Amino acid sequence: MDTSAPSEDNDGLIREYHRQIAKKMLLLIISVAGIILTVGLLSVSTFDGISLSQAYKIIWGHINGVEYDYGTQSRLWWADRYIWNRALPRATVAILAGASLAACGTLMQSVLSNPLADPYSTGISSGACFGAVAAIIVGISFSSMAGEAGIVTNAFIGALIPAIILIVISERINVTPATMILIGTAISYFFNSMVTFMMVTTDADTLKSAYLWQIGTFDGLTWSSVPIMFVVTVLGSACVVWLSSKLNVASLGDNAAISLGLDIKNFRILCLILMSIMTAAVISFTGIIGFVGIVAPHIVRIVVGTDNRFVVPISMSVGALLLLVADYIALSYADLPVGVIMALIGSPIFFILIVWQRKSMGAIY
Amino acid sequence: MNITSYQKKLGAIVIVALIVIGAGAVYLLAGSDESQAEELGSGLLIYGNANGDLVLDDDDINIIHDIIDGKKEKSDYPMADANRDGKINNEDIAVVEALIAGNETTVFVKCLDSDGAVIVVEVSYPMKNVVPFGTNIVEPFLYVGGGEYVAGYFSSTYPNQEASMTGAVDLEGSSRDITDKAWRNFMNLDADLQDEGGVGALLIDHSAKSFSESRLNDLSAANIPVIRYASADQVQEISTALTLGFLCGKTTEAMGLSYAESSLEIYNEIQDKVKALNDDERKTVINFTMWIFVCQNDSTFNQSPEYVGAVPYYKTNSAFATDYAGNTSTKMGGVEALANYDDADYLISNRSLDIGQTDMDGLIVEQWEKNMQYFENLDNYHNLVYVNNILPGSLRLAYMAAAIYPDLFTKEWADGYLQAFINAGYTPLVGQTLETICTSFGYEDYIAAKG
Repeated sequence: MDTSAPSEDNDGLIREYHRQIAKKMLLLIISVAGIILTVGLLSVSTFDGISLSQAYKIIWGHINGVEYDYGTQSRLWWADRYIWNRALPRATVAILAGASLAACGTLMQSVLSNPLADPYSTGISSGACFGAVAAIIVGISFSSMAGEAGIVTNAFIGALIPAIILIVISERINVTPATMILIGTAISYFFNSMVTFMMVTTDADTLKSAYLWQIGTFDGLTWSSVPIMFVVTVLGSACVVWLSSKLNVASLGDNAAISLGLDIKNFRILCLILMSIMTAAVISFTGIIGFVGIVAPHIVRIVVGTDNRFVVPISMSVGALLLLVADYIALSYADLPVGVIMALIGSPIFFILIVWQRKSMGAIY
Repeated sequence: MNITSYQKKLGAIVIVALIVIGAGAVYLLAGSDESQAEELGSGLLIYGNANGDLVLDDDDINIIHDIIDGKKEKSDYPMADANRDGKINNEDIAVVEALIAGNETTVFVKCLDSDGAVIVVEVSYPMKNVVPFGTNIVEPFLYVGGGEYVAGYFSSTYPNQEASMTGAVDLEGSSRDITDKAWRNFMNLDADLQDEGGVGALLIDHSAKSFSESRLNDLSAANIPVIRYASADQVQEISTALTLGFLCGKTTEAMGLSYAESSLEIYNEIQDKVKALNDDERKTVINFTMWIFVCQNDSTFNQSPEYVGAVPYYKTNSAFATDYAGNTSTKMGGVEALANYDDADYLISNRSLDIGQTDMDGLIVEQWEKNMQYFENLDNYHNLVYVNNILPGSLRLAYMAAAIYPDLFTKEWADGYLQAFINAGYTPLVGQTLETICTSFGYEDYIAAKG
């Protein structure tokens, strides 16, 4: 009796298992290394006379309390100050925003069983946009704060309005993925019409400010923008990772999820709340940055498959890398808002992913 | 459908999360309100200018001598302490003598902080490698010949007016907004200039609100002096030009003095003529910037009506005063924004327009029609007047006075003063004529330009 065949099959399975693990690790390592490299590049970008290695030395030195003399080491003094007060807050925001939007994108694609879902599918961006534009153009504030703080709080509160509407509606009708997206579309149309009304009645300068906010920019962000985003992103991401097994079940469809014991309706609402708070905490500071939440999870799924226990954390690192690279290009070469560069990078990547997957990979969620 | 306990828990989670995030946001984001600019006073705003006039000269030295000798009280001459050491002695005389001789020294300058409070900053004399920010301070600095002392500037939209800065580094950004990239360019410029002592000073127009606290912290850490003036105010613009001219050395000091004396001549002539006006003869004025931004009650621009014998409209209409309280400007919310306030006698639009124009009619038609829908239905539409905001401040007052009180002043009278300024050789105006500079225009000019 020949017993070698099962053994070879087992060896093959073990090799395939190791190969899959290696792929996951490799993608994670590449994206983390990419993040470290891009933070360095962002730190030295066009700062004359400072090399990449010097940038890392400055960062390391700053951590260890190294100080430079302004009179004799002016360039290093400014570089240290620039890196700590400008580059690193920007990089931190890019990492948090990229990770958060990618996690939310993964969440929405799984929970809505829709590969085109992103953090903005439920109308969150239009709500945030309405809040911010109301502050910029009309000066209406949902809070007592004015200026930049008023815009941030308006955007945050506006971003949560669609989620609140969805939750209220879900108490009255059976909310399926399709109805969530349709309700989100209806909310988007409503808020977009209000935003359009405000924008067509304003002057060019204010229109530019409102439009820049809609595109998404990291310009002018400092460490003060980081704490809220950091806390929400860390806690929210931990929740998404914790829910990733259930996301696998949810992505099988409502009937399968219910038969596997998941209360899909309430789970969907929980995910909606989580995603809304995470996304609102990001875009209220940065404006609406598209494509991260949709491109990063798809890139990851091509490499590591559809198991959300891996897709979620690796998507977060890929999303952070994508947004960092976009910001590096935006700051160093184009002096454009990061949202423009992200769209320029994201749209062709997304197109290639669709074509590639249709040819060879099958389903993309 | 009944609310399940699960949904109640979810609701509780949302509420708690929102309260925590909201409280955090309020704590982290809340900022302080802007406060109004204090009066700086006129004249040369340099310590050592004991008598507070337009020049630093022997009169100031004599006053300091008299204080040392006990013939005069120190408290009557707060600017006599040239080195700001709290004592009046021969060291102050040495500083003033060095400044009069044009020798290198340190000078203390009175200016504003970001809240509009009067402060004193220390500047190396003569000042060089300057970076100005904001149209209202760039212009007076250039009029006194400051262009050659500019090391870098934030991108300009007035290439002809600001041609004398072209030797300087374009830091990008704009006169209203400094991007991160523009600020990094500024840092690079300061590093490049270290052999010459770095950037000598940053000049800021007080109405340019976009200068962030974090950037001011950078400047403070680098000991780069920030000289801020509310130079949109035409009288403060005179002392701005005088002081900045003084700081750059003897050539610009002379230009600054000439500019200030010429400006004061116009200002005094206007004052002499309008002082005879009765209260009921005084016209009311609503000021605008950038076409449709209504200047708030305490805006720097709102001083100008009073300088020409008119009355800012908010002083005559309490509803308007309530709607436009503050010290900046408010964008008109729609074409009906001023519907209840069209009994104001004049609408003055402070609009910056480059010199060196070749198609004046086209410019007037374009500017007039740009936001016409906001004004054309108002009863006072025909009394809307555009005044070029990059003209010297006193000339802006002259053209404003000519528009508001045509019986007392004429546009030709104002043109005469502009020609005198051109003849005096204030840098941006060299080579210009009355035909290449858009000064002011109203409805009739628009109709004529439209043909």
